[in-house]
Amino acid sequence: MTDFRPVTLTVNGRPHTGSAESRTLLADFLRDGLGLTGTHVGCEHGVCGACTVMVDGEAVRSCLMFAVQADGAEIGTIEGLAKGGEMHPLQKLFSEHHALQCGFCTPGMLMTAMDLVHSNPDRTPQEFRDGMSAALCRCTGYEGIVNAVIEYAAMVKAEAADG
Amino acid sequence: MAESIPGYIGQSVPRREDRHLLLGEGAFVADMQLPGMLHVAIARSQFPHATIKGIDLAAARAAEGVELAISGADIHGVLPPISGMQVTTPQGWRDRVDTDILIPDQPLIPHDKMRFVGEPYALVVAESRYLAEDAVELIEADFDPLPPVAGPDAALADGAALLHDVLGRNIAAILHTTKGDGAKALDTAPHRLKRRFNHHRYAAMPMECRGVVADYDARRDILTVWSSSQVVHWVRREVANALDMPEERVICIAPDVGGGFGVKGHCYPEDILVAYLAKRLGRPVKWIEDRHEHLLNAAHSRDIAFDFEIGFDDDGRILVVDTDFVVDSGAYSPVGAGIAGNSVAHMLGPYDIPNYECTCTVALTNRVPNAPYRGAGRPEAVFAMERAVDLVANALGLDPAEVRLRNMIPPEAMPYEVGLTYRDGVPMVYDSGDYPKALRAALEELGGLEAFRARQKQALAEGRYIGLGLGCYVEGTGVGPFEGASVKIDPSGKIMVATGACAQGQGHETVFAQMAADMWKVPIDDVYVTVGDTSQVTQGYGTIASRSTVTASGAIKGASDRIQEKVFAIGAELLEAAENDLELRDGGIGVRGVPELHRTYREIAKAAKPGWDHQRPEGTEAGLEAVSYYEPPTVTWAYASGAAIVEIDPETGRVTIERLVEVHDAGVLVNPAMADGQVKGGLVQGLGGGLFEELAYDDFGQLTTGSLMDYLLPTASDVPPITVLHQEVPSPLNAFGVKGLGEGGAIAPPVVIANAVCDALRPFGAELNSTPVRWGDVAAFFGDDPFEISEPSPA
Amino acid sequence: MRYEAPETLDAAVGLLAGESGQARVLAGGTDVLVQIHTDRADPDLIVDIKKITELRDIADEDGAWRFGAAVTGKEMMDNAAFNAAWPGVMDGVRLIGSVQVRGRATVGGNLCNASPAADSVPPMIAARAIATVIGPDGRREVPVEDIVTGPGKTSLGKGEFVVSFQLPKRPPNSGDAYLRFTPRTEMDIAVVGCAVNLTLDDAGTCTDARVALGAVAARALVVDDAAKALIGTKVDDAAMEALAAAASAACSPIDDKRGTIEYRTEVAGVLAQRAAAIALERAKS
Repeated sequence: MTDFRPVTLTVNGRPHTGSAESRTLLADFLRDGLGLTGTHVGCEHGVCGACTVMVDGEAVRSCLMFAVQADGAEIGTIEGLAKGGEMHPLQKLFSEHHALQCGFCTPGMLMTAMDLVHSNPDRTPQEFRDGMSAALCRCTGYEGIVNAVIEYAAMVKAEAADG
Repeated sequence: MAESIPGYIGQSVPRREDRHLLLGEGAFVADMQLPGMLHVAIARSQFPHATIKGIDLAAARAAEGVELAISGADIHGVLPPISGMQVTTPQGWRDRVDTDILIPDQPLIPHDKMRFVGEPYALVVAESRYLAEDAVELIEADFDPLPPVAGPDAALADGAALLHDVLGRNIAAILHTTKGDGAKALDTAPHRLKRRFNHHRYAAMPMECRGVVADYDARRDILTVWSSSQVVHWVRREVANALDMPEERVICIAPDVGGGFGVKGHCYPEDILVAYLAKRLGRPVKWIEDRHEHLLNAAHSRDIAFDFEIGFDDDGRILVVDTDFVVDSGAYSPVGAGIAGNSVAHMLGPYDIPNYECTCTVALTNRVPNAPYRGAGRPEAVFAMERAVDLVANALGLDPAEVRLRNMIPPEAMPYEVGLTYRDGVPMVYDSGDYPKALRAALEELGGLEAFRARQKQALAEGRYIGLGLGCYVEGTGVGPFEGASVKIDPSGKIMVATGACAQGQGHETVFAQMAADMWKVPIDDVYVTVGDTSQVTQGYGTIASRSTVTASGAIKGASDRIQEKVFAIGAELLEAAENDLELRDGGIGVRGVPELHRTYREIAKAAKPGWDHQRPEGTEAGLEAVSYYEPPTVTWAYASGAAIVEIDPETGRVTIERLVEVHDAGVLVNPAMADGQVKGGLVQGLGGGLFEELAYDDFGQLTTGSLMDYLLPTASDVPPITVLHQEVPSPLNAFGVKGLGEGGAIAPPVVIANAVCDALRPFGAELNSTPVRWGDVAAFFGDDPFEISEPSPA
Repeated sequence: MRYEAPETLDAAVGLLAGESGQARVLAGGTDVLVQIHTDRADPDLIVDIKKITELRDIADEDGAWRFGAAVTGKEMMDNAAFNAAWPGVMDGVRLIGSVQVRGRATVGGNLCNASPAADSVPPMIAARAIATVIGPDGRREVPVEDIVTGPGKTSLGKGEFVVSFQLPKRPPNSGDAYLRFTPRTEMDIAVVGCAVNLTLDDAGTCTDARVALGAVAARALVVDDAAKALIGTKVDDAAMEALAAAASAACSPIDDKRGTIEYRTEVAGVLAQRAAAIALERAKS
C-alpha cells in the first residue's frame, strides 16, 4: 500500500533529496522529513494559511500540495527568511508593530506578506489588508500585522526607487 | 546611579518571545521529534448518543506499523475517568449561593456509550500518524443509536433520554442567587419588560490545535508530558492521579503554545491517554489534534439562553432583574458550573440595581462539552443585560446612553458592595473605577452622541441606515485560589523566576521580567523567566480567567520579598551598614546616598552560598531562593464601555462596522503595547462571535461546521478601525495596582454590534435578541421596499 | 494511492483508462486534497495534469479565447489581455479561495469539483464557455453548464477529463461581471453568486444577455428569463426589477446557517441587479 517516490527539492537554497509516499503532504515532508518545523499546519484545508511556503517563487499552501508535486521545485520557508542570524526587515517590523502574540500563524503570515509585497509593493492599504486575509490570526486582531506589511511595502518601494 | 536602571512597569518593552517565533524556531508540541516516537490517531464517534455493542480491533492491530490499538473496554477499570471536579469551589461560595451540583466524570474512552459526535471510542498507536490513521479506518465498531438529546429543551423535557444514568437527570448544576426582593420589586415596578436572549455556541479556536507528547524514563521513573495546555499543574495532577504516580515524578511542560483563550484551560482525556501510552509502551508517544478533531472534540463555549425580565421606573432606573437561564453544557462539564457562576455574578454589570433574582440550570446534552472561552459566562450575561438596557431606553423614548448613565455606579460609590458572592466565596466589592467616565469617553471617541444622532437623522433621510451601539460591563479578574512562583538568585547574580502561569501568546515572559526587574532593580535582561513547567514550581494554578498578571506577580513578589530579607541581612554584613540604610539598586544592594558602597547580586549570592567561606551573618540560612504562593484576597474589577457605529445595506442586510471603540480599565498597565494587543485581539474575537462564528448542529445532533471553511473566523478584511483607550485606575487590592485584561476585549462586541444594528433599524422597531447577527435576519426587517419608510420615529 | 504526473495527454488518458480503482485528476489539487483529508475521496490513482503543456496554454484565437484546464488562477490574473476581454470571468477566478489557493487553483478544478457555490462557474456559463473533454473515446465538446449535474457530480464519463475551455468572440459593446455574496468579506463560500454577460447596440439597447446563478440550486443555473428581462431594454430600472424577479424566481436554494431559502432567493435578485449594473458599465466603456 505504500508507494514511495524520490523527491528532490531545493529548500532555502539547499538541495534535499528524500523519498515520500505519494500521499505525503508537502507540509508534512518539510516538517517531518526535513525537520523544518517553522512551517505550521493549522487547518489542513488551505484556509488558515499557517502552512504557506514559497514554491518556485509563489506563495502556496503546503497542506494542499503533495510533496511529490513539488519534485524539482525551489521551496522557500520561514527558516530561510533571516540571513546569518539577522532578522529580515519584515520580521523586525512584525516585532515592532506587535504583530504576533502566540506566533503560531506568524511563519505563514510572513510568507504571505513576502509574496504580497514583492509581487506588487504598489498596493493600497486596503489591498494589503485584503491580501493578508489569506492567513488567519486569532490573537492580534490583525492591526499590527497589516501595519507592518504596509510599512514593509513602503520600504521595498523606497529601496526600488533608490536602486 | 540609582536612576541608571529604568522602571520597566508601564513601558512597552519589546517582547522577548518574538525572535524565535519570527525565525520559525518556535517549539510547539507538534514540532517535537523524539527518537523512537510513536503516533496516535483516535477513532471518534459519529453518533451523538449510542450504546457501544462491540468494537473489533483485530484488523487495526494487524495493520502495518501498528504498535497498539485499544478501545474503552481495554482501559475500563485501569484508568479512572477525569473527575468532574477539576475546579473546586470554596465553602464560602457554596454557603452563600444556593447550589445543587452533580458534575459527571468524563471517561477517557467510554466503554459503554457515546455521548457526543467526536467522543473517542478507540485509538491506534503506530509508527507514523499516516499509518495510525490507516489503521483507524480498519476498526469495526458497532453502535446502537439512542435518541439524541439535541439541546437543553430536550434535556430538561419529561422522559428525556439520560446521558448519565448515574445522575438520574440531565442537569449538572442548578444555581440560585438573590439580592433584595426580586418578586416584590417586579410586582411594584412601574414598567416591566420580558424577553428571551440567546447567546449561541462558538469557541476559542486557537490557530494551534491541541497536542500532547509524553515520554517515560523508566530508569529515573519520570514521566514527562508536553501538552499544549494553559494549566500544566492540572494536567500533572490528573496524570499522576490516573497513573498512580507521585506528582513530583510527573513533569508537565507547555512549550510554545499557539493560543488558548480558555479551550486549553483544563485537562482532557488525551493528556492522560498519551501519558499512559508512553509509560505502557516505553516509547515516546505523540498525539496532535487536527482541525476537524478540534472542532468535534475540544471544548465549545457560550450557548446560553436567558429568560429575562427587567423592572424599571419612569426615569429608566432599573429596579430589578429576574432571570432564569440555561447553559447547554454538552455531554460533560469539565469546568463545572464555572461559566454559569460567572454569568450569575456579572449580570448586574456596572449598574446599581437593588433587586436580583437568578436561577441557572446547567443542562447536559449530546454535544461537545462546554468550557470557558475568553469571557466565560460574561459575554452571555452582558449580552442579555445590555440588550435589556437598550429595550428599557426604547420603551421610555430615552437614549440608551442616558439610561446607562442614570443607572451606573458613580465613582464616589467605590468601593461598591454588590450584594452578591463571587465564586472565590468572597462577597463582591467593585474595588475601583469610573464607569460613567468610560462610557462618556467612548461616545466622545466616536464624535459625540449628539453629533451622531444628527448624522443618523441625515443618513436616514438619504435612505441610509447607520446605528450606534453600546455595551458596558465589569469583569472580576485575578481570581484565586492561588498562583505559585519560585525566585532564585543564581550564582551569576541573575534573577531566575518561574511561575505556574502558562503563556499562550500573552507575553508572560516579558511581563514577568518587567515586574521582577523592578522588584530587584536590575536590567531586564538579568531576569530569566520560566513559565509552563511543573518541574520549576511545586504548585501552580495556570493561566485562565484573566488572572496571571495579578496572581503571578503577587507570587513573584512574595518570593522576592522573602529573599530580599536575606539580601538585606547579607548586604548589611558586607557593607558594614545598618539594613535601614540600604536600598536595592543597580543590580545589587547599596548604602543610600553612597554610590561606591554597593554589592552586586553576584557578590551577595557568593556570600549567601552554603558551605565554608560564606559571608552570611549569624542566623541567616544559606541560599537565595524562595517559593511563594499568592492567595489573592478576592478579585479585582476590570471594566469597559464598548461602542460601535455600523451601517447596514438595506438590500442584503450586510452590516459594516465603521468603527469600534473600547474604553477599558485594567488598572496599572505593565506593558501598554501588549495590553493594547490583548484587548484588540479580544475585540476581534468578540466581533467574530457576534457576526460570523457558529458551531451549528443539525436536528440529528451532527455538527455541520467541521472545518475552518464552515467555521468562519474573522479575517483582516473583516476588522474595522479599532480604538482602545485605557483608563488605568489602580486596583487597591495588590501591590502593583494591576487588574486582569486577557478576556475583557471579547465580552462586549456581540452586544455592541446587536445594539448598533437595532439602533440603525429603529425605524422598523427591530429587535435582535440572539447572536450571531445574521445578514438575513437584518435584511428581513426591511420589507420588500426598504426605502419606503414613513416619518421615522424619534431616536 | 499512486501519483502520476504524465507529460502528454495520451499518457494521461491511458493512465486513467487503465486504472481499475478510483482515479482522480489533479490540476491545482486544492479541492482534491481537501477531499482526501476529509475522507470524501480515497483515490487509488492521482493523475496530475499540470505537466501537460497543452493544458497550460492560454491563447487569443482571433478574439475567441482558449485556455487549458490546468491554467492556474494566477496565470489568468497575470494575462492582461484576457482580463480586458473577460473581466467578469476574472471576477470569479479572483474569488476562488484565498490568494495562495487561487494561485494554484484552476478553473477546470473549480468546475469539476462540482460545488454549487464554485465562483468561476457562473461567469463561465454566462460567457457561453465550451469545455473540451477528452477520454478513452476521444474528444468531445460540452457547454460548461452541462458538466456539473449536482453537488459533487459531473457528466464526465470514466476516464474523462476537461482539457480546455473556449470562450467565444464577443461583439463590441459587451461586458460581463460576477458578484458573490458571503458573510465574510474574503475567503468564504458564496451564499449566492450571480454572473451577467450582456451586449449593447450602438443605441445602448441590450441585444444579447446571459445570466447565471451559483449557490442557489444543486448546480449553477442559466436563467433565461433573467436574460430576457434585459434583452430589448436599455437596462433601465424596470428591466432591473424584472431581472431581479426572474433571478429570484429561478432559485431553489438550501436552507442553512449561511442563509435561509428566503434570504438567498432575495439576495439573488439584488446581486443580479448589481452584477448587471457592472456589466452594463463595462459594456459601455
